[in-house]
Amino acid sequence: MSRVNIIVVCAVAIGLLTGCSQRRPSTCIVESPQQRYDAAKALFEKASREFHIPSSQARGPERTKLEDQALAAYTDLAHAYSDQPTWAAQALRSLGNIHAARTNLIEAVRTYAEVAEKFPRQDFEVLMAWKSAGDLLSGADKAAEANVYYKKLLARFDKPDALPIVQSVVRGARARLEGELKLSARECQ
Amino acid sequence: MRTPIQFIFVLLALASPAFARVNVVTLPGRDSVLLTIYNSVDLTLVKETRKLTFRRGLNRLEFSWANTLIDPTSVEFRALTHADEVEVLDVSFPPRVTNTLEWRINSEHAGEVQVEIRYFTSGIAWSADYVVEAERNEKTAGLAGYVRVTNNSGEDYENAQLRLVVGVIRLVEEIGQLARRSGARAMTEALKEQNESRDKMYLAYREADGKFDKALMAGAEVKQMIKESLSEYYLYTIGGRDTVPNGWAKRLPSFSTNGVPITSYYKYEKEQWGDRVVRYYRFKNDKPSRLGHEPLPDGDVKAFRLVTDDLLHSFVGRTSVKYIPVDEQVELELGHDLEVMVKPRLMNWMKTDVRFDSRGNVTGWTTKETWEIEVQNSKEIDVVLDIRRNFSGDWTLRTAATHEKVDANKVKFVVPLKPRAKQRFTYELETRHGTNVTR
Repeated sequence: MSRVNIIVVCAVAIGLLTGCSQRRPSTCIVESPQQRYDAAKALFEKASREFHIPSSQARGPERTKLEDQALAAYTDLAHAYSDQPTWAAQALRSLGNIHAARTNLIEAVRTYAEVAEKFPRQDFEVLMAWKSAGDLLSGADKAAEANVYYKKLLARFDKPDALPIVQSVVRGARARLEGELKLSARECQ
Repeated sequence: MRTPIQFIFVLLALASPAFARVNVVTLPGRDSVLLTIYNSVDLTLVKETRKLTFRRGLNRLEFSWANTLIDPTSVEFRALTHADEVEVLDVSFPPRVTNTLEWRINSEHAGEVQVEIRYFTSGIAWSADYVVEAERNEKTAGLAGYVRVTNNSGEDYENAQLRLVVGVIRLVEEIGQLARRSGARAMTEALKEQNESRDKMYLAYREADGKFDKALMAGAEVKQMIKESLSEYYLYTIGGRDTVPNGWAKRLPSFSTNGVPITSYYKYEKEQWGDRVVRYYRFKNDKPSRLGHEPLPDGDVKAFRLVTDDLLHSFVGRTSVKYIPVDEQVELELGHDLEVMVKPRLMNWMKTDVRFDSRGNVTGWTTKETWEIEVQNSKEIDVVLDIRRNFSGDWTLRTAATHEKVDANKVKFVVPLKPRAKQRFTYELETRHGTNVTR
């Protein structure tokens, strides 16, 4: 190979490398679907194990700090891995749980509602999110708003061949819709 | 040891005002745990029973699956005693803890109730392995089976009873194929389909589990493995109870039989194994062989042979076997054996019967090869050698040695050899080429 050719090849290689490094790394690193699934799972488990679960045992500023860390981790996951519905939907619902635990009703219900909007095929996550939203609103004496979620839940999940756990959730939603089962605010937290 | 699944049993009087007195009255341990492990789909059905003390009215029971591989969609609760007085009113998901559900249970009975909680989890697997101990003459052997259970489910199971399922339930197999096929479809459709498939799979397993229970109730309680034939799959129940902590593997004995008739023989086929001789043990999974009570699952096999009267065993080899149905014969390929040798030698070669066309070009010829096969047994026991030779083209074999044509291009010589004996036999191979070919 002549010297000119070597220089040209080197220039092209440097150009390509420089081009990659100046763009966002994601344009150069191609992750397989399995790698993205594994990465999303690892992020969820880290957020859950290191921040969210310990936050339920902690008190005062330590609890606030852990909840903030869990919020940040779940938010990152829900945005960066929206193509991984198994983990992104769980992260989003967990975000709703943290808002609910902080008695931030509006934000909690909004986040629960997002689960069904963004990940409509994640049946069990949608079921849990709608039930949680309904129970939270019901406990806050917002029966009319709670009923919206209970009705949606019944319309989608009230099927004779549903799994037993789903049937139990449906039974509870119906009982609450019909006013047979009332909750206190404390019970919803 | 830490147990990720937390049960918090909370009593709440139904008639209490909004901020009722809430008492955590007990944290009940499991009375029994039954694990039914379906290896083929990485699923285990867990059935655990607990004795709970219910108050008349509303009772709350929490179940957490955080940091485990439990599928929450499969979780079920039912009362085994006072079943007509205990009713699940609702399931909710308390936000203060992650991945937790709460049953709200109305009880008309005040007092102890035995309940069952069951669910499916991944991460528990089992594998079988076998040890063959051949007698010195390699005519009979002892065969022992073991089961290794590995728990990576995130949950400890203490004093668990274990059931192992061999084979695949047909419906589940079909569902599995359906789920795998969905790879080419749109992601959302695939997820939807997988959800539905999973639900059907759980229902199929529950149905199978019911059959298992009936089968076990019909049989006697045996302290070893119980094997029940249930059409396409077999159930092995290991006697007794064992603790299988998360992150651990446990090896449990499953059966042991002595005096199994075996055939020890040696194979030589250059095209398969080169110049070395391979040793085999053969036996049959049937009643005359003191086996045949059940199919034997896939597993690794280690073979030993008794070499001295004080029970010293030498390692013979290791291999793996596929599922062995009842009445089927199994061959264990145990690797090379340097004490038995086969040396083929080409003693003579000639080209004859050469034919030409009108322009003097060769159109046909015949080759004649004379081979001598030397076989040697350096062992102190009788052996049987199975020597296979492969020929191609239009060939004819001439020999005084006993042989058998295996197929169009393969011949088998079976040679019994006395201890420390050496033998030779020869054969002549004639191969026709070109216009000399007669078939």
